[in-house]
Amino acid sequence: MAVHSTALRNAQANAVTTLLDAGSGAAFIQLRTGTSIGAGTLLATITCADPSFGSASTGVITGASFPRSDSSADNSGTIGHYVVLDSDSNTVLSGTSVGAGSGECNMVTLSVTATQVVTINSFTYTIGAGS
Amino acid sequence: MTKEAAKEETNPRPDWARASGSKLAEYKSMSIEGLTKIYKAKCAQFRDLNNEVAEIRGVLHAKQEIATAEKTVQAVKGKHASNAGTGGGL
Repeated sequence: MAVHSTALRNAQANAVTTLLDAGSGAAFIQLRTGTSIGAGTLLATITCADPSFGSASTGVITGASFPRSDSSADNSGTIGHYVVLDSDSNTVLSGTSVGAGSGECNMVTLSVTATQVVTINSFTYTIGAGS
Repeated sequence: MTKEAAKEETNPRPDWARASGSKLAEYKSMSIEGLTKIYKAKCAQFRDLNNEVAEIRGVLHAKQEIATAEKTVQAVKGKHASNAGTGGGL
C-alpha cells in the first residue's frame, strides 16, 4: 500500500479546491438520488462559497461558509450521492458519503421534498494517508 | 493598496515572472475584489498548466520510447553488420 506524505495529501486536497474554483464563478453541489454518480434525479443544487473550500490541513479540506442551502428543491426524493462541479459544469468531485449528521456531505436530512429548503450542514473531503 | 498591487489586479503576472520572494505582503494589502480576481485567474492557470504538463509528459514519454526503440534497432543493425563482416571472411 502506498503511503501519502502530508505534503502530498495537502497538495491533492488543495488541487481539488483549485479545480473547483477554476471557473469564472462559484462551484456548486448537486444532490441526486441513487448511488450511480451523475445519474438519478437532481433534487437540489447548492452554490458554494468562492473560494469553495479552506486550505487543506493533513489532507482535509472543509467547505467554506456552511451551512448552505437551496431555498427550493427541484424534486422530491432521497439523497444518494453528491456531485461537485466548477461553474463551467465540469465535474470535479463526487461521492456517496452523504448522511444526515454524518458523511462528507453532512445534511440536515436526506429526505427532500420539492420546493422545500435543502440544507447541507457541512462538507469535508479527505485525502487519506494511504491508498 | 500599493501601486504594484493595483497593477497586479488588472494584469496578473505569470508565475515565471515571480522568481523572487513572497507576494504575501502585497496580497495582504489588496482588496477582496482584487484578490478574488487574482485567485480565480490563478486557479484557471493552475488547471490549464496541469493539463499542459500532462500533454507534455505524454509527448515526452512517446518520444523517449521511440528513441529507445531506434537505439535498439541501430544496435541490432550494428550487430548484424558485424556478424556479416565476420561471416564474409570465412
